[in-house]
Amino acid sequence: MNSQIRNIESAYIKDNIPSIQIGDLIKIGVFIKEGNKERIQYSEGIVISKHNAGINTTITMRRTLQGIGVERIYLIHSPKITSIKILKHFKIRRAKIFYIRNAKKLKEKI
Amino acid sequence: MIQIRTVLKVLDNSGPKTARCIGILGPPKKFATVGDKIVVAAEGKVYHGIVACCKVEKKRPDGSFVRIDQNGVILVESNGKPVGNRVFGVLSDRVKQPEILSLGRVKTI
Repeated sequence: MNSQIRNIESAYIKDNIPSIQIGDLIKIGVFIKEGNKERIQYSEGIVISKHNAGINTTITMRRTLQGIGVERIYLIHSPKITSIKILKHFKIRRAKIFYIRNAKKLKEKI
Repeated sequence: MIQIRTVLKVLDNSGPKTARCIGILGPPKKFATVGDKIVVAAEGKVYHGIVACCKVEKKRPDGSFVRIDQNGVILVESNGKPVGNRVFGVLSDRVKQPEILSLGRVKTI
């Protein structure tokens, strides 16, 4: 990547983020504002893809809510992301695991 | 990205299980997304509907995206009043109409 861009971004890149791999079960805390109240909302899910782009690095996290799959793409260096904690790791032999979207039973696919 | 002929899942207890989009309301455009009002046909009748969740990812102001595994719609009458009285499943947070959010136990993501 261009060293000039890297120099500018280095001021904003977080250094306390754990090394996230595909197949990690993570718990991510996001700072949200509901009206006047501010709070941190936690959500768990499996990382199904990671896109490395310096400060614009994103991860796609998949979880199931009320029987429906929901995917969220987070910019992990965003100031709204307060914490990322790795709960468990599943051994995966792919860079992106989009095949789990068709999984009837997730445990078999992973 | 809901367009004409898209079949959506009905997320309330108004009766029909699926509805087909037959038009998009508002300024002329080809695709509707979450929170937009569309015209749907369900079980031989025509209703309006509010798109509740969409399979194509939707960007949020903080740079994150949300993608839900189904295309869902909530049926409403022409005046905006919901046809059913209970809503199921997961809605997007762009559904802000108070008549729908007051239908109890609504999960928005």
